[in-house]
Amino acid sequence: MVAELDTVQDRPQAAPNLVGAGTPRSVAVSPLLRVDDLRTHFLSRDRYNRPRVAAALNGVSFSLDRGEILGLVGETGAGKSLTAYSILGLLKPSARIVGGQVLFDGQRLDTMAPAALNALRGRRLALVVQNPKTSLDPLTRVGPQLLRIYRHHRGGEAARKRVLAMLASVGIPDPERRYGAYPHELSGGMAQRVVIAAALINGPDLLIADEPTTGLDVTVQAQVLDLLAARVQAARMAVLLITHDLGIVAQYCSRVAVMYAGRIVEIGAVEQVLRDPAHPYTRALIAATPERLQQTGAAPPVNLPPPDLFALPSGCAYRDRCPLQIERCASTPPEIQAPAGQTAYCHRVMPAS
Amino acid sequence: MPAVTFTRFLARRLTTALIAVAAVLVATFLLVRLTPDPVAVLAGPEATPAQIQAMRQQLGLDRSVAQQFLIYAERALAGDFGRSWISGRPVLTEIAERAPFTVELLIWGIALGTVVGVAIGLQAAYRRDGWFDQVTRVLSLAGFSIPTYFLGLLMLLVFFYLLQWAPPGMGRLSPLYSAPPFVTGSYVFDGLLAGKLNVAWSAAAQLVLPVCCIAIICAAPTIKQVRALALDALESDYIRYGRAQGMPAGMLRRMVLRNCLAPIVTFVGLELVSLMGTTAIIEYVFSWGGLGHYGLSAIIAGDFNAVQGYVLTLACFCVAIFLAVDLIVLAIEPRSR
Ligand SMILES: Nc1ncnc2c1ncn2[C@@H]1O[C@H](COP(=O)(O)OP(=O)(O)OP(=O)(O)O)[C@@H](O)[C@H]1O
Ligand code: SF4
Ligand SMILES: [Mg+2]
Repeated sequence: MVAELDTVQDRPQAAPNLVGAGTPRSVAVSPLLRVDDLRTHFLSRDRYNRPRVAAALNGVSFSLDRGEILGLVGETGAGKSLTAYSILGLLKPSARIVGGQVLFDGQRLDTMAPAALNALRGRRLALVVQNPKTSLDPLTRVGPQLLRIYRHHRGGEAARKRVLAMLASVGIPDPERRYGAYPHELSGGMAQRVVIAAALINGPDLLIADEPTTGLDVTVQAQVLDLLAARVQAARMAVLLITHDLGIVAQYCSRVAVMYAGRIVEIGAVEQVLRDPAHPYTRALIAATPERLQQTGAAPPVNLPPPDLFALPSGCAYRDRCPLQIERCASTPPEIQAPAGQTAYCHRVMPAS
Repeated sequence: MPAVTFTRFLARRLTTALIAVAAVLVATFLLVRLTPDPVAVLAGPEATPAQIQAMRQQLGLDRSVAQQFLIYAERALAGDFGRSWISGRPVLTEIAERAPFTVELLIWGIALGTVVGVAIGLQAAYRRDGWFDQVTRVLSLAGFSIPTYFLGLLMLLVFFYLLQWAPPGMGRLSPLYSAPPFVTGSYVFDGLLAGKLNVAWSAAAQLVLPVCCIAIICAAPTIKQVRALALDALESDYIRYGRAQGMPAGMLRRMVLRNCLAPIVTFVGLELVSLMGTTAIIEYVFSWGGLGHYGLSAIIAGDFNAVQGYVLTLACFCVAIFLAVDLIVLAIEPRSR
């Protein structure tokens, strides 16, 4: 199925995969996506009309190459979806990129003219949204929605056949029937698969998948992720996979970034980060997975309130919750290369000698 | 939608409609019977007690209230609202003669007001907080708060008296012409059908000011409503997702409009209903002689039968509008099926 789908598209020459998973990217070839110190704030006004700023992204940096799946994890409200929207220029009016840059294939996305960016979106840049049921156009049947994405970017022929093949490839049974369904007639899992099909239909170079498998049962989840992995292999697509599920990260991602309060606190190869987590927050995150809780017999941690974005503490934002917190943590944590090889931002991580 | 569900839907809506009409029937009856005895007024100050008594008998006011209601309900359901106490002609005939004038006024006014209101509302949402949005917000508020009769008089003052662009507000046709033969009841169309262009033109000119009044009254809240709906749509997940797919701006705007359409239709239905009352005042100001004018005169004169006929006709109009709105929403909104 995958092979058949790929014959339809005129894929740009894939860059050779010079960089292996996890190795620092110091190689001359620039990565497909580079996010540099990205800062996004929500600007609003309070009752007295004084400006209020929610510092939602506070310097997010990472890069992502063709043929690679980068996991992005972190608790709810950490800014994972916002990172995706900031990269793709899909912020709502109250949110604004106030610093940093986004480079896709050598072009600045954050300063690109809206029309030029719009031409990239849906074709070379694809998004699997976190909430498919409210994101699909409520008044248009599913098939025609996919059809217009394809037609708009690629025009014409055999579009319907391709839509049906796409729907089948994401594990939608009886695609002919679903083709004519309205979004509200779909179950959550079915809508989820539809937006995955929509994202893949034009063979994007970069796919940002925001919790693409919530609402799918385990079999379908595996099927969909295997499909993505196959495309990453065959079509050299790059994937930013946002998820809560560290099991998925372990199985499908080559690298993983851990996010807290709008910052990446640790990033590196999956084996490094998951086996030898360096940052206290990553450790807490891993300790709180259902499997680990079962192993250790520990009580699940109480859900601490997310940090107040309107008044983040200076220095390390994790300070209030961190068991290792010391005075120094009130200043910006340094970038440390941990012994296992990954990068962490913390005062207490011992650097590799 | 399967035929069975549709039939059931229709049956349910018609039942509600019938209950509503029945309630209005009772209300109109009570409303009129509970007001002070009008016979003394009708009969005039010189009438003797015997004459008054005879009049009461003639009007059926000597029977018990329950009896009066049964007679009233039976006749009203058969379309017989009795005769006007003033003109002595059957109320139904008088209403049927005048209804087309009001309908013509309302249709043009609502159509113009809705088109303008929707267009401005959408633009205001697209340029949120820009100067267009600010200006139209003030205008909408002004149109919303200006009293109807004052608006009518203001229009006459400006466009007839000062600028002399519009004819005086003296009815549906310039006194220079005689009415064209009755076909639709609209002088514009009937004039055209009769090949009398000058009659049609004069009738159209007479329509302009009252239609504009209704359009203003209709557009003002529509702007506000459509702006709010469009802003919601613009902030919605599906528009963001549409942008994520690189859909062109024109298609996204169409999507916004289409997604606002069902609530707009509902809103315009409500507007239409509330404008039925407002129209009466406009008709009065412009001596229109339509249904609203008739109803208002009947209320002022205490002509019970005419008032009842008028109110019941309005109620039936409203029920029909609500039914039509439901059907349209059903047709354009897949989630309602
Ligand atoms: N209008 C707004 N004003 C202020 N803060 C906002 C606004 N909208 C969102 N936020 C904040 O932005 C932060 C980022 O949210 P985001 O949706 O990216 O989280 P997430 O990591 O995707 O979480 P989840 O796992 O629940 O999807 C959240 O903490 C949220 O409270
Ligand atoms: S910098 Fe300090 S507070 Fe932050 S995670 Fe490290 S030890 Fe904890
Ligand atoms: Mg999210």
